Amino acid sequence: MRPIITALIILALVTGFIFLLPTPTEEKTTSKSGKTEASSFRLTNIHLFDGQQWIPNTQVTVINGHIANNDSQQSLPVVDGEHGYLIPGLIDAHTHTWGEALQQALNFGVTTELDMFTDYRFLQQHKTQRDNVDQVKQADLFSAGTLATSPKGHGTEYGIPVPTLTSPDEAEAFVQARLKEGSDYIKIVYDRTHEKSHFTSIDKATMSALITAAHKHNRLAVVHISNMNSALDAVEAGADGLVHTFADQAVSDELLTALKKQNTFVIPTLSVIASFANQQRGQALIDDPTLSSLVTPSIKQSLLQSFSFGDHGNHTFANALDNTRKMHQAGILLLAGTDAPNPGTAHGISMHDEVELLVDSGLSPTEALTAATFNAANAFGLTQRGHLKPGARADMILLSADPAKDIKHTRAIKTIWKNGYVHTIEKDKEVSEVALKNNGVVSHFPDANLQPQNGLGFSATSDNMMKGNSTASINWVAEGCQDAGALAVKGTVGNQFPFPWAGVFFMLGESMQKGVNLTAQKSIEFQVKGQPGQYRLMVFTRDSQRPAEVGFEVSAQCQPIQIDFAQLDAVDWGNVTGFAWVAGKQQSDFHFTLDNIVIN
Amino acid sequence: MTINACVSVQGLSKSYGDVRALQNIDFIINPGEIVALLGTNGAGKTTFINSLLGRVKYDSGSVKVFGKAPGHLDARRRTGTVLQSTKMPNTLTIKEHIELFSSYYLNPLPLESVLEKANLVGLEQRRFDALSGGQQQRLFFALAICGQPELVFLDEPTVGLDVNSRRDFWNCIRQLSAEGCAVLLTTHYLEEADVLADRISLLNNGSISMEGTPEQIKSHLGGKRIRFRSPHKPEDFNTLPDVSQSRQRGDYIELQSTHAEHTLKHLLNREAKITDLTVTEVSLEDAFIHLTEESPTTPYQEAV
Amino acid sequence: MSQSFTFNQRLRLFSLETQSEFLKVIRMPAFALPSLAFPLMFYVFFGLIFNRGGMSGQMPAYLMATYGVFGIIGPALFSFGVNIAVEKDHGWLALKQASPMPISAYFVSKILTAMMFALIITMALFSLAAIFGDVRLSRSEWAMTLLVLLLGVLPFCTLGLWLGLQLKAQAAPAVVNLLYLPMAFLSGLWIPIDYFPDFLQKAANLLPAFHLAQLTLKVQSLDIGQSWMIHLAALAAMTAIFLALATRAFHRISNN
Repeated sequence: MRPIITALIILALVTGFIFLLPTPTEEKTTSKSGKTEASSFRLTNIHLFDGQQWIPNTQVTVINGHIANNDSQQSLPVVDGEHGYLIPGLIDAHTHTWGEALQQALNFGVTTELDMFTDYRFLQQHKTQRDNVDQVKQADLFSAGTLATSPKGHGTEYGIPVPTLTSPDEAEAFVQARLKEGSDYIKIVYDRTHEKSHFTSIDKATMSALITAAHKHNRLAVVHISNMNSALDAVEAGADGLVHTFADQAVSDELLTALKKQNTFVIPTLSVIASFANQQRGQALIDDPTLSSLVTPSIKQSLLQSFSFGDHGNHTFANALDNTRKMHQAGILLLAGTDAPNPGTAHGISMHDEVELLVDSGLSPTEALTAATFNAANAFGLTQRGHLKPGARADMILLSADPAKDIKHTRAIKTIWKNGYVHTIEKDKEVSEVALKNNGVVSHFPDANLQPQNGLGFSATSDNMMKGNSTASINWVAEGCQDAGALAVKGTVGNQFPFPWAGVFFMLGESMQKGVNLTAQKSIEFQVKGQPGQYRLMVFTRDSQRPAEVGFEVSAQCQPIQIDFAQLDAVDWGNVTGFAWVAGKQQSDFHFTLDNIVIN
Repeated sequence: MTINACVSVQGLSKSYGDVRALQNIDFIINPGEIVALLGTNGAGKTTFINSLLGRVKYDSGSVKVFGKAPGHLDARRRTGTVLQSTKMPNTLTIKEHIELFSSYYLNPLPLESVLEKANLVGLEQRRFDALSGGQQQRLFFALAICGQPELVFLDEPTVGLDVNSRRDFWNCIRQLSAEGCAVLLTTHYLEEADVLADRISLLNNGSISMEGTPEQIKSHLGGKRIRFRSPHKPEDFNTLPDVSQSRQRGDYIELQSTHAEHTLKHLLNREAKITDLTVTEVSLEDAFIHLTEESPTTPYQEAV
Repeated sequence: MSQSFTFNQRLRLFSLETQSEFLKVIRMPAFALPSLAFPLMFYVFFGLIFNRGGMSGQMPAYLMATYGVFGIIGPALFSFGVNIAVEKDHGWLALKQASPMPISAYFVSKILTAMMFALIITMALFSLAAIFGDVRLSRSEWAMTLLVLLLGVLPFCTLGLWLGLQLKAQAAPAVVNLLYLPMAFLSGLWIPIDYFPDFLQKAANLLPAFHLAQLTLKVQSLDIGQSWMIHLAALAAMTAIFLALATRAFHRISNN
């Protein structure tokens, strides 16, 4: 019997070994309902757009998150496409991505974002996801990481410390540093006519050296330009792509010839140019009934913002459309990109506007779809994306209406698959049942335990939690504004996080997932004194990427401040999770005292 | 032919192309007897053994081993074999080799008694590559007997062994026979056949040229060779007593005598002009030459 | 009156034969070490260190499958090809044939030994891939890959058998290597077959290793898209051809 026992032991060991091996489905594929969905299936009864052309009345086979040949013999669950229109997941070729952007993008069918400048640490955090086909709830990210610009050039104005360069000699080391940070490609900011703007710019030689260095390391170099002369310089310097079109003048034949000759691609980013030109397209997106169910307050907030300085009028916007049309006619490779979340744009949703703007520029709807899928993948060398041929990653969108007939039909999304898994959008935005008690009094801070009458409590908060270098601390002080006792906050605002903050956070809900319904209240009141200056009140709501904020003034004497909720109309007041009082961006060391907080 | 014969062969013939390896051989081995198949290299001994093992397809005749066709499983289970110039996997130990072969048989001997019978006690953990030539040969012997066979084939089992190893091996064979096992031994050493066998068959150029007890064979083959220089012709010595053959070889005259002392006495009495006298044992080759009356120029072959 | 073995005796025979074969091989470091180490080393170099980024991160998973095939072919070809040639020339095979050993035990033990090596190599490869290559497969994919690789030794055992019976002991290692290494390369075991020019991709259809690699990759849908039935049929046909050739060679050596 010994041999049988030996065989059984070997079998048991091998089985045990198999069970020890990691599987992609272990935690991630379990959706909230606890049901595990498979990323292998056959989708039948569809009209397929494979990224370049349409194949009517066909099917696709997905095996383990990849498109497989239809003649695969594997027996697979069949999903009826109900004669819908299947297109590849959209690729937004120009974004700035942080926070919840990737989740939001996927909700609108954008399965890959090509970021053109973000905190490289964000890229590092999200880079691994794109290498596997796990079930995920967000789009994949490729990014330039830190951009290349001059001291006080465009890109340095956001508060995030950005390494800069001024001369060609620095280019090689600069590019190497970016690659070490994980940059997938190099994005360069260049403006030949920067004297007219309030930014500086690197010179053409430096741009050229950066492009050469990037190419030496086998990376693409793309250039941000905003006028035609700069575009000419960039193409001459060997740029692989321009990440904007321009509106200052009509594109010259010389530039068209150069673009064509060098195979330079262009990402017109008409969405952001439209916003710059005050085209008010954001409201139209919000009002679109096919999208409205997905528009969160934060999306709304972003879409309704406008550039404070941008009012170039219809004329220049028409230039941008015209230039795009001419480039298209000249056979230049065009990529759809939004520049979200710049004012007037938002991640995901704006891609549906961008393809429409491309059609407005003379592309056929199918050409616009190619610009939003295959062209982007092709230009950036992403072989598994932007198409639905065998081998592609099963990132795809099923539409209920034909986008080749009307590009607006990209919005008629029935199902989104990411890595072969159905993406379910959690939009349980129902209003919280929790209401305020005690007439809305938060606290008069009578004693040192700082326990509020409403909500969970106060805590110091800073960007330290995001690896920034701001600091904050809170404590109780005996001297209040009217009565005894108050909350004292002090700290330092640092400069290592793009959006630095430091102050005190008040948790109103029982968790960040469960807020309090403040629709019956009208305002929040509090008394404050401290180091004079501009401070901010932030409102946190469930599911929003960024808190809404409003400024208030602090002086050395106790001042009552009342902030009406009406001022913050994009906030989802039905589900408020907390407030924060934080120091402004310009401050470094600060201190202030809060007292008598009441929500009315 | 006995009903219970271990091996019975009738009219066996085998050719390789034009070469007639075996010609019309009749042969029998009875239970418990040791039969030596004596022959020079190339006489057909190995072909014959292989026919009995079923490893060679013969052209005509009949071969039965325990009443079955050669190579039949029942036959193989009742026989053990030592083949010529075999090498075993170097990395296995004596014990592992024996246990493996024991598992092939229905009623194998316990490991200890196999080791004892093959004189390998204390060496069971040795690997094959650490064994001397004699030990290796005794391991093959152990593999041949581990299944308590009724018949053992030993194909030239002592080739290449020194005198002591050969003696050891002979003892093993004798012991085996004493326990009632039949043995077929091929050898080209007359001495070996003489010492061990109950019966000797002479195989020469593919046919059995003589069969009998060792004494009978020896009386035909045995004797001594007397060599000397002399001005006389070889024929002149034929009249000496007990001389079975005489011939000229180079400068020497060679006489073959069945009773050398007697012959020498007469030789030395009769002839004064004899120089460089030597007396040696007759080799098997010489014996066969004598037996078949072949040309005296047949080259010598050293018997190793 | 032929008595027969009890089940236990038969089991003991086969297990002892397999154990002997396995011990024999594993105690030859010159054979065991390269067979186990080379596929793993190659995988570490080409699958984990140099090619990480290739094929959008699929490289470690892809090469795990193909180096698995590479790894299991080695012991199968060598255990049969070289060992049988040696055992034939050393008279070992003849002695076994003269003994009451069932010939099936001889082949089963060699197949099982090749499979044990395949198992060890595959498990080591899986571990490397999972720990250092971030390869994530479903349970059934892991299990299927293992199963395909284990059964995949069979065609190469028959190929090895034929070569072993055909070749002289001294020539066998050289000939087997001469066959093994180019076949591994041309079948896309080292470099994905998609990178090959078209005519080489077509020519690969003649190689058993190509079909086994495609079957193994099929588990993860990383194959070039032919039907699994084609690969299976090709492997079965090649196995049958090698087996027929081996039978012929076997009869020839028996009758000399």
